[in-house]
Amino acid sequence: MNSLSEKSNAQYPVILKIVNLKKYFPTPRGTVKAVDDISFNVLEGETLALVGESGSGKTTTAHVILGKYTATAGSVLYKNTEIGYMPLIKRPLWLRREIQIVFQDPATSLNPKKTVKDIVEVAIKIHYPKLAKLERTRKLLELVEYIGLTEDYLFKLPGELGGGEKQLIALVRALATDPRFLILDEPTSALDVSGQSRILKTLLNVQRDRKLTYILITHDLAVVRNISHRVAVMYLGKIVEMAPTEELYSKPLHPYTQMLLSSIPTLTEEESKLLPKGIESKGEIPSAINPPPGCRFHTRCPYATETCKKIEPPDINVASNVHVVKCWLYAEESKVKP
Amino acid sequence: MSMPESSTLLKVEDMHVKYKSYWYVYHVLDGVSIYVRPGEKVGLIGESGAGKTTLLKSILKILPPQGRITSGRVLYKGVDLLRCASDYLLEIRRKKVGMIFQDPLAALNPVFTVKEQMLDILKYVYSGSDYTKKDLENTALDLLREVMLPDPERVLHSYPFQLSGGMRQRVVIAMALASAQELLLADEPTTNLDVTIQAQILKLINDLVEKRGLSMILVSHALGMVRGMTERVYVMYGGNIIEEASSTKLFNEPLHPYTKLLVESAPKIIVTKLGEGIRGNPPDYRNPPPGCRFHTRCPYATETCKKIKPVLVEVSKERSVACHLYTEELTKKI
Amino acid sequence: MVESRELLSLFEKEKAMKRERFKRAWYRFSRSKLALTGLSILLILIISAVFAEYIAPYPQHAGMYANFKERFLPPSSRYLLGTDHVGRDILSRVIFGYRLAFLMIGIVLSIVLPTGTVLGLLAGYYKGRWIEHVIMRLADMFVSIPPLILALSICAILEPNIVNAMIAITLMWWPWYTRMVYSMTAAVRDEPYVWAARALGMRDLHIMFREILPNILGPILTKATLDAAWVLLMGAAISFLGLGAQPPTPDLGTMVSEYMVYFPRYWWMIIGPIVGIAVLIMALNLLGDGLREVFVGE
Repeated sequence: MNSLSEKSNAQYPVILKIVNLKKYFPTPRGTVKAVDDISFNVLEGETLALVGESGSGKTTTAHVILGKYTATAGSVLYKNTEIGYMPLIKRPLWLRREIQIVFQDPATSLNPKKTVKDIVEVAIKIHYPKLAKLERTRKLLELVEYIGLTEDYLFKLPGELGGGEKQLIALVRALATDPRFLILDEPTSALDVSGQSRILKTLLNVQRDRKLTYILITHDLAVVRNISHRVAVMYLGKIVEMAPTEELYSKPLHPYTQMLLSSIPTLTEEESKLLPKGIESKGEIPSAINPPPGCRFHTRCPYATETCKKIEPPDINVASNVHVVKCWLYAEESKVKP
Repeated sequence: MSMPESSTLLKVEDMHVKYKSYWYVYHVLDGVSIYVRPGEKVGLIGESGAGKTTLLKSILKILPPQGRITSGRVLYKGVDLLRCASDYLLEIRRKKVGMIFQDPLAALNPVFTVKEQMLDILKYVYSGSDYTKKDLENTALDLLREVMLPDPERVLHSYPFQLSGGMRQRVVIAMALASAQELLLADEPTTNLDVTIQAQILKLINDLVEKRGLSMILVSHALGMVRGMTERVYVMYGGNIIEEASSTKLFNEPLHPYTKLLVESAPKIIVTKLGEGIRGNPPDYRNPPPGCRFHTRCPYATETCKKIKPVLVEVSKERSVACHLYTEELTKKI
Repeated sequence: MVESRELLSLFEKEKAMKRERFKRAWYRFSRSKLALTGLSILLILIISAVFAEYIAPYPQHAGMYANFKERFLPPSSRYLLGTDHVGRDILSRVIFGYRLAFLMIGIVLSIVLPTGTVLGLLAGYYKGRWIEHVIMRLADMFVSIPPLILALSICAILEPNIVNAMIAITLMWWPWYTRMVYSMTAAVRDEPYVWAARALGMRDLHIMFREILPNILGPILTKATLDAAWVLLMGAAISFLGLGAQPPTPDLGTMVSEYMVYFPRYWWMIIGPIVGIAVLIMALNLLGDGLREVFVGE
């Protein structure tokens, strides 16, 4: 049975399992294949980063997990329950309590007419209806102070807060339900440098204290480096490379990953030394309605061969299942035939 | 600054700018002075709200109606743009100084094609010459080619919404370049663009600036971008210039506590301890803190900092800081 | 652990903050002299209407009364606006006319505002579902009939009196409200904070009224104020055509139609009700503008 305590207390080493997920959007101009057959697991307590640029499908994937969209094909298993076809509004309360989200734009993710207290209190009211008002307020004050803000923030309106602070409040709201799985949708993109480090530090602390699992959606490779355990690089609806963070940055295999890394403007000498040389950013992301045949990256890849243009490369395991690349360049070593 | 006026292209002296709203006055720029030499690439960094865009707009006198320049001079080749004849200022805007605005969606008029908007600008750039409409069109096409737009013909006849973000931004750059024969003002030219496109656009701007020998002021809160594109950098906080240095020196050995915290807090792609961030919020311009505007957030603030505003002082060749920590030594010596 | 004492002081602070915000909103409103003027005039008129019996110099003239010896008297110190063709004091009748006008506006508004808003919220929130189609096509039906004709038909079918006039105006007016609320709701429903509310587990109705409605309330109230003037004009038009309030009821519109025939000989008669209508409309418009300032400033 789906009883609350059963689900929450049982151990789920693989808390989220995505299998052959596809999400297509029919439009008048054709079908947008936003996510086109991706698979990955997320372990409890880890942070998996989905990295990519616009059109990569990372945001769509997050929204399918959230329930804003339902999957076109494939499955999304949360604690072994299929949630890929459950829109958010139809989800049971326990599921909505466990999976929460922090949105990208702090300015629109908080109701501009509600005070901080109202925003957070509602979360507690819904999931802990038996608590008296005094207890609720106590709980919410404790949360706000845990995040590092003071009690005078409670009565402010979002318009009176800075970007970084708004994002912290969005995090407080998400934490108020005592979730297990947090979707972080570009949490730092709209913030200044000082706001970014504050929220990242807080995210790390909270994860450690409460053993949360994060899925981080972003295009900022510096943010990824600092808080994720594993990274999946997406391009035009496919995962082109997936590896533990340190491995990805020291040995980026896929040409697109290399292109991404080489495009980052770096701040220090040390960082500059780390970047892959010899590959420069070229071209633009093709349309997702008519993706290029074969390997989708071939139009911009300096190493593209004839095979690349015709046949889509399979997922190739390099280094014993820990590092996976979708690129013909590595077929030889792994003895994979087109 | 001990710079003889003839060797600078642009010199902003002691600029004070206020914004007046219904019932508040925002004292934004609080005595800002910068200079740019011919062919030099200068960066202007600081968090959003520091006054960077305000400064750029003051140079060309294109502040919104609530903005008032209460004092200061903007010397362009020796002539004060704030007090010159309006025809002269128009000439400068049309032919000498170009500006890349922050948001390409907002900088392009959605109901006109690219061709109409570019011709609008080129008309003024080439006013006084005998260019026909066809000549202007060809010039526009050349500009679009220079910014490496594939299929310039199609882009020329498109509406902004038909172009991708990267293409729009390139059109905006082309338009800015059309009127920038001497100075380019770039205000966050690549926000909202994908990282790989950003790299291409930045390289493009760099190449074009070098090719034409332009001077450039690059405004951004992305520190890495500024480091890669500029020779000298100003750091702004709360409407003041608080540090000035060559770009390598600034990011390797920042002096001002704010700059230090900024460099530390920026997430990096190497494994280091995550910066703490800077506690507190940018100053409220309606009621800015007395003394140094940063003292409320500064870990080293002293009593002096709360009362006396530090002045920008040269501590070594082409390195200045506005901070009591450094200048107190100097004043002690004096 | 947070002490209970500290928590209680928090509630005090909360009340203080709310009072502070209200004060600021009032400050914004009061900066506009025109808005203040509108509000003051409106208040004066409302008070006059409520206490009509005490304020009007000849309250009995508002009902069945005739004094043929005093008919057609021009404005004087005894009859400030003169007397009409039956000998009644026009000023008193205008004051009672305001009572009727406010009654009409009040009743129509209190039916249309809640209904239109709720329907609009439902239609906008469930955009794409059957409920949206039903509500909006129904609204379209009513909107497509020219307003006055609809009103007139209703009044012609039913007995012509003031209650039926109000029914007619209500039926005619609700779709405009619904449409406006619908478009605002549809715009807001996909904002991240609404999705966050859904992610939290908030129920749909709760979201509509607690998350979306507060954000669209401003334009609704502003429009309500400006529309009140329109309702008044409609009512006056209906009465003018003889389908609303019947004589001897002192309705401003009816008065205009009654006194019109005596123009230009007894020109002062018609000025009374016309100026009466104009003043009320102006006050409502000024108030509406002032309200807009308050909400835009936020």
